[in-house]
Amino acid sequence: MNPLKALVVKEFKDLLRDPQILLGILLAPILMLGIMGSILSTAFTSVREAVAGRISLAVLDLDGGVYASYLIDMLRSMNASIYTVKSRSISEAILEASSRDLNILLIIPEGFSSNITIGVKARLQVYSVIEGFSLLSTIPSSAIQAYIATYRDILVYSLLGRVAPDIDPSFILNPVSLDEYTVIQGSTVKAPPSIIFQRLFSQSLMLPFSMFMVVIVAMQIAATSMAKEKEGKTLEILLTLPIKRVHILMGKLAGSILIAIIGSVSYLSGFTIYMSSFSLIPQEGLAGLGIPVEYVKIVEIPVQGYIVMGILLILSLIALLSIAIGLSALADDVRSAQSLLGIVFIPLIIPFLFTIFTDVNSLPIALRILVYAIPLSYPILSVNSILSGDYLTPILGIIYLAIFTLSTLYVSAWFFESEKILTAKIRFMKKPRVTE
Amino acid sequence: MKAIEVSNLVKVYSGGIPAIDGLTFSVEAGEIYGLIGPNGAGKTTTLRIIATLIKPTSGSVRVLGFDVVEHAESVRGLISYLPEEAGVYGNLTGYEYLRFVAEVYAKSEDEARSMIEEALDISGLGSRIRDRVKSYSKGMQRRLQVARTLMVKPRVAILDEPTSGLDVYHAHYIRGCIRRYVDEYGLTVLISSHNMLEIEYLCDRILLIHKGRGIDEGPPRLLKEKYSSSNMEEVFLKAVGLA
Ligand SMILES: Nc1ncnc2c1ncn2[C@@H]1O[C@H](COP(=O)(O)OP(=O)(O)O)[C@@H](O)[C@H]1O
Ligand SMILES: [Mg+2]
Repeated sequence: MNPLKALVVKEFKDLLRDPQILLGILLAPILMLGIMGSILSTAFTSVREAVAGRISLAVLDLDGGVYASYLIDMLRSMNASIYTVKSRSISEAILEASSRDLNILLIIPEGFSSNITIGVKARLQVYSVIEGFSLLSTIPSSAIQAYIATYRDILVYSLLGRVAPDIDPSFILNPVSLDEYTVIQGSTVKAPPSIIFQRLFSQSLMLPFSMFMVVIVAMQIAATSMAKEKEGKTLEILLTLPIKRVHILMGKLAGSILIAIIGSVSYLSGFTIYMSSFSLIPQEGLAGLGIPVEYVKIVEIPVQGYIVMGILLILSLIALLSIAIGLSALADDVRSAQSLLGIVFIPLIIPFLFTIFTDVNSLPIALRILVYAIPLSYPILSVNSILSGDYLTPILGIIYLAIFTLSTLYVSAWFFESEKILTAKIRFMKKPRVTE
Repeated sequence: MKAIEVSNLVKVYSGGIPAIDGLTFSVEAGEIYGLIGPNGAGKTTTLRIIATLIKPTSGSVRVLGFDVVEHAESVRGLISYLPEEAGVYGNLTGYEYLRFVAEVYAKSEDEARSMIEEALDISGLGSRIRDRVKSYSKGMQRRLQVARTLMVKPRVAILDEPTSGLDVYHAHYIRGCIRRYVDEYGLTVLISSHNMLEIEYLCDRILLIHKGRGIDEGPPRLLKEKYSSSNMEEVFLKAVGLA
């Protein structure tokens, strides 16, 4: 029969049924991010509905002239529900509006229409009653701004039509227009760099983030599984079974990678629900610019790119998991193992932060060497390299990682052969052992 | 060829006094050999070295001719070891645990299946075998472990205090199983205990250990005659000069 397979099955079952792993690593992320996401998406849906025009407002018309009634008619035609307040003073009008759950009061002051008629700037006032400091409470006033802007445009057109009937009013309003093109990697795209950057950024952030998650989760699982063997005194039996010690190591690697993949799928689906709640925000900026199709092609990662990233990820996973397993084998219990692991996480976060905030090549040489010494840097940084068409760095990375990973495996295997794996007893935050 | 050959074995744990200090003994094939001595005598240390878990500071140990340091992997294929404190995977069921061990040892599915059947018989766990091990009592866990150790029918079984934590009834039953396995399959058994009754009932020969040294060796009956004692407890006390 196949001892390695039996071992992986055992690891998988034992880990998957561990309440700590099941709850902490597999279920909590999807629940937490999912719940957060659906709350946000509910919020944004109501925002969207609000923006889409189901706006209710109170109006205090102190003017009563022709331009005031144009404005009110236009608001009605744009699907706003309008309540005309009876009070004649502003403070009373606010109270009256509030008593009817209307948070927006539009005031058309006296002389509004006559000012427009004689060519003097007319004024409008909007009072927003804020009940809480939420995103939602800012929506009605933004909606009113949009309505008033439309009203202003209509006015401009009609006034211009009266003054200069031969000229196209849209020309006067906007005599020069700007078409922006961005050239990246030899292809030209009709969009400003800021938009392209936004798209690139989300891609060059999501992929590294996912990789980072897989690695961190897998390391935690591997460390927990190893420390559990020691704390639970099952290691002593495992080490006398006729299984190659390297296979015990490999069984742990495979088991934790499998669980980590499940965990990361959980994380990422939670994250996707979370992120999709944001895409419900009306993105006039993007939609208005009409991002052309060819632009998508430029930021697409080709198949060979994914292969290179995959190799880098697997290599660094194996190296880091061996380290996590070896470290936790030094510890006496699960808690100490996790404390030890916490120390290793610090250098792992460095490359992740650098990919977000800086270009590694602009760093001082010492820092750059540090970043490139850390295995996790390679898969994470390869995303940007591959996006910009640079395959040399990732391939050199594969060579470095292959050597690094083999050495780590070799050291771990040696450690598994030694008696230290059984006798080492590093403890954290516990009373010193009382000898019997 | 001897089943186990221990010569001039010394084990010094990091920086301490020797836990084993020049131990020499050998076990014949098909024999039940007992290490007997008080707590801290060095029994567990000796068994762990034979089970390839820790390495001797000096001296040598051979199992069926294989050196436990040089040929640790071959030795692991011949032995089955029951630690004094044997942990269990609480999240697995008893059956899943036996299945895992059977698949590691067995050459075929048929062999694995018959191993598990044997283990069900030895453990006496009945339908509880389908429950998660963490729901078992200490005694049930120990029976599962004894069953796991014997079911693979190793050439050499190494049992460290096999009946510790078992009630009289189950301890008696397990001893019977060990005896039966030796008679039926010709295993060699190396057993440690501080239960003198158990040793007397089970062992063909015993070694009295005190402070890491062998004091005397022989069949229980002859030792009792030699020290003109009625029980093994008295034999031990006389042998170490305390009575
Ligand atoms: N891992 C260890 N590190 C240091 N000393 C140990 C270790 N294990 C056992 N000892 C010491 O070695 C001696 C023999 O212990 P042990 O072999 O467990 O005896 P027994 O099994 O006969 O009770 C004891 O003094 C014990 O404290
Ligand atoms: Mg002991």
